[in-house]
This record gives sequence, C-alpha cells and structure tokens, in this order.
Amino acid sequence: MSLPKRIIRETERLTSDPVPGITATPHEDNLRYFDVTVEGPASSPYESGNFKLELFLPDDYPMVAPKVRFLTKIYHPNIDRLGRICLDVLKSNWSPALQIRTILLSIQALLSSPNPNDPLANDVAQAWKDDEKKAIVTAREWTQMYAK
Amino acid sequence: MSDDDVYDSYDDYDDDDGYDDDFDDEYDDEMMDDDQEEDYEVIENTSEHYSYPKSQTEKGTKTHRMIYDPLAIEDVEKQLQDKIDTLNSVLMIGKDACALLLLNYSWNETRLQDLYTSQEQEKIRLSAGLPAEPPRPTDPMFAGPLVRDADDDFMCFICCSDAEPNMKTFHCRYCNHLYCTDCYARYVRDQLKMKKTMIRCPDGSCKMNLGLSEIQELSEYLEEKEKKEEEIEMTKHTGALTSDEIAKRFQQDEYDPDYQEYDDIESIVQQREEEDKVFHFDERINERIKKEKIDRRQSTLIFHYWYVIASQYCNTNSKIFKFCPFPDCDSIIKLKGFDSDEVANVKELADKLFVPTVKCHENHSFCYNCMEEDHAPIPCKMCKGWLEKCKGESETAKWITVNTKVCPKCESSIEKNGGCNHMTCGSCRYEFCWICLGDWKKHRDNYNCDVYKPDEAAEERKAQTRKALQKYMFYFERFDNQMTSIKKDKALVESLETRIKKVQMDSGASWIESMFYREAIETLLACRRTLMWSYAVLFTCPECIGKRVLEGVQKALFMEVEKLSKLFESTDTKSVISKKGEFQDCKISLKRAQLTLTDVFIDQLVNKKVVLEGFTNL
Ligand SMILES: [Zn+2]
Ligand SMILES: [Zn+2]
Ligand SMILES: [Zn+2]
Ligand SMILES: [Zn+2]
Ligand SMILES: [Zn+2]
Ligand SMILES: [Zn+2]
Ligand SMILES: [Zn+2]
Repeated sequence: MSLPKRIIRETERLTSDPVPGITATPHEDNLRYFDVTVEGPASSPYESGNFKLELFLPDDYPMVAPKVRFLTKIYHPNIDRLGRICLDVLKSNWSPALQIRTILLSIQALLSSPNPNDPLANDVAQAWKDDEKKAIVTAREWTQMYAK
Repeated sequence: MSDDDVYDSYDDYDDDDGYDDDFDDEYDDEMMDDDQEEDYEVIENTSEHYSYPKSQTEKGTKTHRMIYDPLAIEDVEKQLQDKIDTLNSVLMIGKDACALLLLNYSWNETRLQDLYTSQEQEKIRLSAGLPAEPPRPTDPMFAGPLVRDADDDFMCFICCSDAEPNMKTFHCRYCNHLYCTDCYARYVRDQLKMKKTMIRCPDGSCKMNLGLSEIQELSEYLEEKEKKEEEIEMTKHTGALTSDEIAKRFQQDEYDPDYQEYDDIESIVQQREEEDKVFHFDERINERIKKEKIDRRQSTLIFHYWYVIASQYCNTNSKIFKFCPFPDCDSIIKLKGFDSDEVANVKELADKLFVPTVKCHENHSFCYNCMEEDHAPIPCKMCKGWLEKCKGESETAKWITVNTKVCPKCESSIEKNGGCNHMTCGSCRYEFCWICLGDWKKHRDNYNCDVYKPDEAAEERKAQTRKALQKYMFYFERFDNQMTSIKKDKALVESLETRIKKVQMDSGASWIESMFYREAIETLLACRRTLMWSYAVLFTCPECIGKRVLEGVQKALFMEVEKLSKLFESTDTKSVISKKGEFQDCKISLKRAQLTLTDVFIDQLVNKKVVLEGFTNL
C-alpha cells in the first residue's frame, strides 16, 4: 500500500520545520514507524532528560490516533511502566485534523504539568498526591538515571 | 489552524452537564398523569397495552398491571423531533440549536427553558457547541450551502489533498474549518460508530458542533454523489462494448457453467416476488422492510445520526425505555405507568410476585423486569433461581452419581430403584452390593452390608439429597419436555410460510382465511411456555392443599396443549382449511385454560396460600 499524501506531507514538515526540543524520524523500511525523542521541558523534574519514544501510524490514520509509547523509563503519574500514555487527545478527543506534531507537543506539555487526578500508573499517581515534593525528587532521580 | 491553538485547548473538553437526576422526576410526573384514578374495568381503552389481560383475577385478586407502549425506534425519533419543535416554538432559535441544547441537557426541556431564559444563556450555548450569541437569521455570513466547490488554493488538512476539479468542501455553519467532503463524511461516520451525538468540528481548537440540518446537508450531498457514481457505472455497461468486454461475455456464455445457474437464481427471485404479491407473505415482506431499514440506516448519514440519538435517549432513560432482548430486534417498550396505585415501579410489581409480561412491536414476549423471555407464572426471583439450577446440568450429573453405579464386572451403568442394596447387573447378571460394590454372595445378611458399615447420619443425608434430586428431576424432565417441544414448534413456525402456502394451494383458500393456522400455532407456543414455567413453580412449592389446586389447573392446561398439538400433527395440509373450526375451538379453550392457570397461580401466590421456597436448601 502506498503511503497516503497526508503522511508524506507531515513527515516532510517534521524535518523541514522541526518542533524545538522534539525529533521524529521515520524508519527507512517502515515509513509509518517513527523514532521520537523529546527533551524534558525546562523547570520540570524531567529537565535535561532526553526521552525516547516510539510512534506508529495505523492504517486508518488520521481517522484514528497515532500509537505512541515511551521507551525510556519515566516516573510520571500519567505514564505507566510500559510507557503507555494517558492523554485525551490520543483517545476520545482525537480528531483527524490533529497531527503528529500536535500530539508530540501535547506529550511535552504533559511532562511540564503532570495530572495525578487522571492517572494511568496508579502507584505513581498516589505517591504524587500523597507527597508531591518527594515524587518530584524521584522523578528527577529517574531522569538522571534513565534519560541521559 | 495553527498548532498552538490545538496545544492550548486540548484538555478542556468537558461535556458533562450533570442534569440527569432531574430527568427521572419529570418522567415520574408524566406517569402520574397516566395513573389518574380511572376505573379501567369500565373504560377499557383498547389502544392501551397491559402486562396482563385482566385487571383482576376470577377470584378478584388485583393484578396491578403495567401500562406500556410498544414502539419502533422510529417512533422514539418522532417523539424527539416533537420535543425539538416544541422547544423551538418557545425559544425561536432554530431546530439545530434546540436539538444540540436538548442533546446536551439529556432532553430535559423544562430545565433547559428555565436556564436558557436566565443569565446562563451564553454558557449554555457554548457548552452545546453553539456560537455564544444566536446569529441573526439574515446574517449573510452564515447563509448559503455548506457543501461548496473547493477554492483553487484549498488543501484538506485531513487527507492533505490539494484542490482538484469537482472537489467539494464542507464545514460547520458557524466556523470556517473546511475539509474535503470525503474526509468529513468519514469523520462523521466514525463519530457515529462511537455513538457520539455531539459531533464537534474536526479542528482541534474549534468548539462548534454539527447541527441536524448540517448533517442533513452533508448526507444529501453524499447520497446524490453516490447515485451519480452508480449511474456512471451503469452507462459503462450499457455503452459500446470494448473488444475485451465482448470477449469476456462470449467466454462466459460459452464456458462458464455457473452462468446458466445465475439465470435460474434471477428467475427464482422473480418467482418469489410474484408469490409475495399473491400470498401476501407478511413474514417475508416484514423481513425485507427490516433489512431495508437497516441498510438505509447504515448508508445514509442522517438516518444513522437519528438512530444513534434515539438509542442513546432510550439507554439513558432505561427506567422508562427498554430494548427488546430478542436478537436483532430494536423494538422498544415504553413504560407508561400502572393500572394500580399500590405499585410505583416494575421492581415493586415483581416483588409482589407479578410478572410484567410485555409484547414488543415485533411480537416478542418478555418480562419487563428481568428481561427474560416470558416466564409467567413463575415470579422473576424463582425464575432466575431455576435457570441457575438448570445451568450446566450439574444437578443432573449429581443425580446420576447418586442414583446410578457402574457394575464392578462389566462397567455398564445401573440405576438403583427401591431401597434394596442387592443389585443384579442387567448385562452380565453379576450380583453385588450397592454400598460396597462387593460380591453379594459374601454378604450373609441378605439386607445389610456387613462389609461396610456407613455412618448412619451420613447415609441419612445422602438419602435426603437423593430424594431432593429426584423431586428436581421429576419437574425438570417435565420442564425440559416442554422446552424441547417449543423448540420443535418454533422450527415448525419457521417452515410455516411454506406450510401455509401449501395449505392455500391445496385448498384454494386466501391468505386471510389461513391466518387462523398461524394464530393457532402462536397460541400453542405461548401456552407451552406457561406450562413449562408452571412446572418450575411446582418444584419450589411445598406439599400443601394449595399445591393440589395448582396441579389441578396445570393438568387442565396440559390436556389442552396436548389436544391442539395432536390436531397439528394429525392434520395434513390438504384438510387444514376444512378443520378450521376445530383449530379455532382448540385455540380458544387452550387460551382459556392458560388464563385460568395464570389466574389461579396469581391467587395462590399473591395471597400467600402457597409460599415458594428458595433454591439454596438443595
Ligand atoms: Zn480530505
Ligand atoms: Zn470549526
Ligand atoms: Zn422484539
Ligand atoms: Zn422476570
Ligand atoms: Zn455387569
Ligand atoms: Zn433385593
Ligand atoms: Zn456390601
């Protein structure tokens, strides 16, 4: 199956006009599969970390959302042990007019403002609610340990 | 659309309104109106549907009937359209806006009217995906068609296609986010598949929702387009044939063995249609109408949208609206109230041991409380217990282990009857002891096993279990027998068309004349169900005078069922018409016996002359 125009255009734009702090490179043998890196946003516990993610565009894209997962271990209330992300735009609020770059920006924003009230990784969310300061310290430690 | 817009707005979608609670009250009020003290016995409104044929039994026990409306999903759609019209006649802001407001406020028009006329108006409009202020109807900004020719510099942000000849775009009336019609249509279909009724503009930052007339316009355009494409496809075939096509057709005629058969199929279809005209096979016609309805719903956007709206409406008001539980049936029963002031809801009725049996638009009978297929006269609780008991037939297996043993010599199974422990195998004539399975010759005392002395209490318990299971098996066999007969009769109903057709052909009778045949078999099926469930009632019934009364009416129904059943078996299609009178007499007395049985069961159960036991003590 040939690659839809939409994916070609998006890929072109991701390279010609990259989003600051984010890279997304398609695999040569599978142009629907992207290696993604996201820099931890400044003044967040993930600052100076470099997080690896994988992104896949299903056959029905853009009618369905891309599949995104963290590969780097991360301590975050909305990201579970397997790297799955709890983000509304990846689920019920996906719209075909959204793009790979908007999704990645949303993920970066999620690193800046964790939301323990809408958790995926339950124990982390609980720790976050119980003692935010301590949780932030742990998140920072994990960033140093795994995201360098 | 800029990326930043999306980024800013992605997480403040909030559709919850929290007004559902008031909604039920409103319906309770409506029910009250229907409930006004009227003597239903005197002014029997024939258009009403009741869960029981009579308001009291022969002996005068009140039956507290449920009053209901059997509806098709289209009827619900119509009711919702009326709600939209009514609201619009008050607010005068257009049907689209009214529909979105009602959808967003769970169709609570009273609440909505109050809120809308207060200062909350802007907030309410925004949360329903409407522009903050009602646009003036004359505003040229919002006039004109929504499906338009794509501008030269247009690019669809969904598929990234550039403008090309014949490309059309579509957008919400109050925003300017254009996408190609193909993408828009796919988007709306996907939203409907997810059962969304508030369909937002695809643009992530835009808060506008699509209104009815907007979806209608897109739907009409798509239909038109499809028709044109079909026409083009047709002209392709009727136009001049290319040499390739000629060769292909020639080959088909010459070599394709299936080609001839294809011709046959067409003639069969044609023949069937002819038959339908003559015989009015409502079965087949109904099936076709149903299929057309489903096809129409799937292919036409606006019908699909209405279907999702109506089914969501019923699901969120599940106390009043229930879908028929029969597979592939989307008929609805609307609860209107009760023929009694002692019952306020279905659960209370079921707690009083009445069965609220309703019949859907497609004639399926089921219990409105537990949603099982009609189970009168057994109350819901006992029905559930009985079904659980029968499930997996584990009880039967237990019975077999308690009552049968395997011959120690030849391994054929032997059922114990009577109390004697001296067993003789029917196959190999080996004589052995029931308790120890040892050679009987070694037992000196002819009646007691001296090899093995069981704990007396344990043996007593075992005997009790055996006794209880025997009782269960007695009633289960009779229950199961009726169930098997129902299955057989249902198969007969399925072949009924052919049978009725045969009846008509053999006797030259008209379709209407042969209707009695169908009615008779439907009555037989319904009465078998009643009989079947009456066995389950008797199983849970302790030995008492009341039980004898129940057994009496049960026997009477059994005889009537057998009588009509025999008549069906013994009458060939040629003589059906000549026996019409007999069929009708049988049907009438069967119906009478059924009503007597349910009446007597109600009397005995409701007045606590018979108290049903639970299932836990087994
Ligand atoms: Zn498009
Ligand atoms: Zn829009
Ligand atoms: Zn039905
Ligand atoms: Zn029930
Ligand atoms: Zn034997
Ligand atoms: Zn004996
Ligand atoms: Zn013995």
